[in-house]
Amino acid sequence: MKIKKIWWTDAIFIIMTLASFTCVLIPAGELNPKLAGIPYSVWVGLVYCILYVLLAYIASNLQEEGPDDH
Amino acid sequence: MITSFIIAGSIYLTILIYLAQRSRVKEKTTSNYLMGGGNLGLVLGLFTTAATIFSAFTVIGMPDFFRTHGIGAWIFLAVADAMMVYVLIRVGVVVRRKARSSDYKGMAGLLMNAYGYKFAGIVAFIGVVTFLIPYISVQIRGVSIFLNAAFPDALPVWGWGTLIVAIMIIYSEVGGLRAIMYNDTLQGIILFIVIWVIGWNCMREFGSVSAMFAKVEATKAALLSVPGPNGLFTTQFFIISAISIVLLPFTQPQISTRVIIMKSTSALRKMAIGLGIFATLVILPTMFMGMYGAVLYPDSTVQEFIGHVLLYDQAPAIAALGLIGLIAAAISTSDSQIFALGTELRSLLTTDDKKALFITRIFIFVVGIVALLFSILSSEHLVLLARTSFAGTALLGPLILVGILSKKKPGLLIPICTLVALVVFVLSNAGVLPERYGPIEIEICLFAFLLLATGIELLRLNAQKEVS
Repeated sequence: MKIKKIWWTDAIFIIMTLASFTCVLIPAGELNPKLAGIPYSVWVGLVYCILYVLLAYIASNLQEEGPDDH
Repeated sequence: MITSFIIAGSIYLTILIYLAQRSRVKEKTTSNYLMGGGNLGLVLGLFTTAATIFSAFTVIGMPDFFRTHGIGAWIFLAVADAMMVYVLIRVGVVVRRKARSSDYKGMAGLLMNAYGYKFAGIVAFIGVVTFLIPYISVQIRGVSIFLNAAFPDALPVWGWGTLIVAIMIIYSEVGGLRAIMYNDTLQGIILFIVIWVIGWNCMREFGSVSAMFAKVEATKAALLSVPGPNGLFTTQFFIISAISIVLLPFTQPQISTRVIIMKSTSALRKMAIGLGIFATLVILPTMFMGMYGAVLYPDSTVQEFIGHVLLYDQAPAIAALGLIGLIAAAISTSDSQIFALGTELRSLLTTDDKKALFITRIFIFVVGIVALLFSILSSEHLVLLARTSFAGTALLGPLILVGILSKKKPGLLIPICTLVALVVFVLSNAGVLPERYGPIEIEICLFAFLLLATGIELLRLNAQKEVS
């Protein structure tokens, strides 16, 4: 069951990564919409960082455990 | 400031010597000297890996990159590092298990066994030597020039470079990888504290983060979006950087060794998560430093800007700490890279352990000297050279991943194509071959070429499986 579940995190990772090379993360010449005065690509980039680390955490919990896991 | 620097420098050196002495290896073997005993815990693993990744290019290069090219630098490094964490969790765990199930001595040796012939290991070795030595050199040079500018009467540039290389070689020789990892931990902590203290001071100059960005927008709005004022941050730039950085844990031996010698898969997973948090937190203050420079020192040279941001605009004690942080950042990466090159050579040697280790130690010394000599000749474009190093070693990605993850022994196709790609990339960087073909940059062409070769090889292996 865990093996099946982990493909969802992989799928989210791939979608997020492909989207990161588009205007979702890097719109050319665009500063807006700002968040608390922070330019768009900076705060969305920070959200990306948090989501990737969160996704990695979820994936690490869903991974199969090996003989030397603990 | 010189008094503060001497005091801080003396404390720093004393701790380095103490840690080297504490991890001293009397009877040197590949296992205890080159692999540090192979049982790396979470805290040591996290800080040594972080300090190895975040080098002088983080302290000098990234603030200047933000100042010159704008906030695209944040996507280039912070977002790509976070991507790397996910791949490290998903692929690193498998790579670690496979490597530990064999007698791991280095990536080149592992590939030699996985492919069943020495050529695959030699290609990997050529790749890391070619792309790590210039990277080591440029860090030594960057820090040496800076120290010379800070203390013009103390030592010439080559004198600072020699001192840095001597420190690295001595403690590597005394304690091996364990000494390097202890020192990396110290240096990682110093780097983190220094970069935050200075970054925070830079941000406070404006009053708040939003006021800082407002000021930058009024000065040069193009810095706050991509592709930046010089048009550097194109989609292709981000794709090449992301591929190169995501593959770092497997293609740069100083990182892959740490991944493999983590004491358990669980410790590796936690280390990877910690690394993602550390990366984001370390890069954030370099953005503050860069934005500070964009407003106050937009037209200064790199040395002038870094001189102001790290030294002259800071209180003497913080400036001294800044210098120590800079030295620590350069040393913690360079020592690991020099040592990793030695480990790679050792993994290719099939002679008895004592003799192989002797040759390896001589090689580490020679690499240190070569890096020093290169540092006298190399350029100062830290970030772009670091990125070239990342991209160059990323060309080894398919060779390494197919070799390790494939259940069957792959053929010659991928090693030959990798060697061709390495030669083409070097010639392109040397200006002999073009850097782009039409609108496509050379790195993308080479990644596509290797991906095609990998696809063909996997189909061939699969067909073999069906026949058998």
